[in-house]
Amino acid sequence: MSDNENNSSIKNFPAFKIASLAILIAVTTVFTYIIRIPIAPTRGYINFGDVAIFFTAITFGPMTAFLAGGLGTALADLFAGYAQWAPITFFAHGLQGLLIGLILRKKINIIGIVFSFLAATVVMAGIYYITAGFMYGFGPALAEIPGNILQNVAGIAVGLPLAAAVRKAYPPIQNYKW
Amino acid sequence: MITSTFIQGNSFLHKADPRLKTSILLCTVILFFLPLSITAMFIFFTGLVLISIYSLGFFKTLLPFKMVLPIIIFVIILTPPFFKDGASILIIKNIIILTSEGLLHTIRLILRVTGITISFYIFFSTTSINNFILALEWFKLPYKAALVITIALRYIPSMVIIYNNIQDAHKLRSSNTQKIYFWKKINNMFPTLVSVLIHSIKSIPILSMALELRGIGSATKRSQFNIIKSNKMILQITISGVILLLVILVALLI
Repeated sequence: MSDNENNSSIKNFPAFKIASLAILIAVTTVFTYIIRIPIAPTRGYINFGDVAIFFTAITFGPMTAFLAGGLGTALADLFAGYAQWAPITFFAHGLQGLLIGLILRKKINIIGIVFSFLAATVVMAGIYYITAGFMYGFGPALAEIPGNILQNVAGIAVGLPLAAAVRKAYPPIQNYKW
Repeated sequence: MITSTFIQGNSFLHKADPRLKTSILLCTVILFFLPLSITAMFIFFTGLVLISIYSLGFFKTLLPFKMVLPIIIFVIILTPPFFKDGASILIIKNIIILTSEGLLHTIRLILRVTGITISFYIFFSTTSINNFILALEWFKLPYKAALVITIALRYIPSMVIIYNNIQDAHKLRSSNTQKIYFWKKINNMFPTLVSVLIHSIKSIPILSMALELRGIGSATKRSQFNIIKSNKMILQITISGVILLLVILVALLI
């Protein structure tokens, strides 16, 4: 049996789904919590959580992206001491991954990329804005929108080439979508 | 990397049932969104701070305040201009900066965001992640979902080690990475990310085979080593429920 046949049969087992979800949640948590690039002018930073979400959505499909993206970023919030945001993060980033996965499920072209970016940004930034608005006012909540958009820009700018590079270097991954 | 926010201790909150604490946490968050008077919110908030000081100590109680400080600053700067009703408190060059209504609303928002933050902080500082997952299972979280989170939690520290090793290996091959532009930094990081992802993805088939061998996916109901016993639970829930209801009633009446 070839490697590809082996992989396409193994992905139908519940154990494969559990294993892939667990590993991708860990990947998303580490990309969010550990891998950060400082932005010199603002002294802020960009985390790579959205990169992991774009990668998962393109490579593993919408449902995996919803669960891994949502739970991975929620765990990162928990460990970083922002546990109060974890339930909101689960839905914001989970839906972000789900939308990207659904839009780019069939074919990855420029229209799909732009549309997925816009949909993901609106949903993710929108959920955070509405929740923050209810929690501490819609005026102060506006301050978070530029950061969320920047996160998505980094996510698509790095996530797409990353998915292509991983597919090229490790072809069996193409059979892991479920 | 810190993969647990649990702080060792011997307080009543450390000993309390995680299912009970989960229920109370949910009630606390709802309570902060109810249209309570400022006095009621302040009493409730002070109670939480005192519980935190008793359970975790004074200095550890300061941590959530430090984390929420940037948001508080934003609230103080951006909330008052949206409220023009009520008596004027601060006027600069004929422009109303702060009214009594704006001040009350700002205090309410600060109490809400700080109160919710401190509630979550107390919960996750006195409840281990494993106990939290067991509590969620008791609240009918499917076994497979709990298993996924548990495996992910076990895998995160190893992945950090893998990431650091790969990063060190790539650093040895690249030139000086000090004082470089943002996109150059990302470009330099790219091979590390590819290596980390391939290493992680390669472990999926191995992990799934290990899970298969342990009978995951079988229709037979699994037994569990760690469970939460239910004996004291009903009594604790009843007492806490009554106390919580009384607190809410008193708070609404104040």
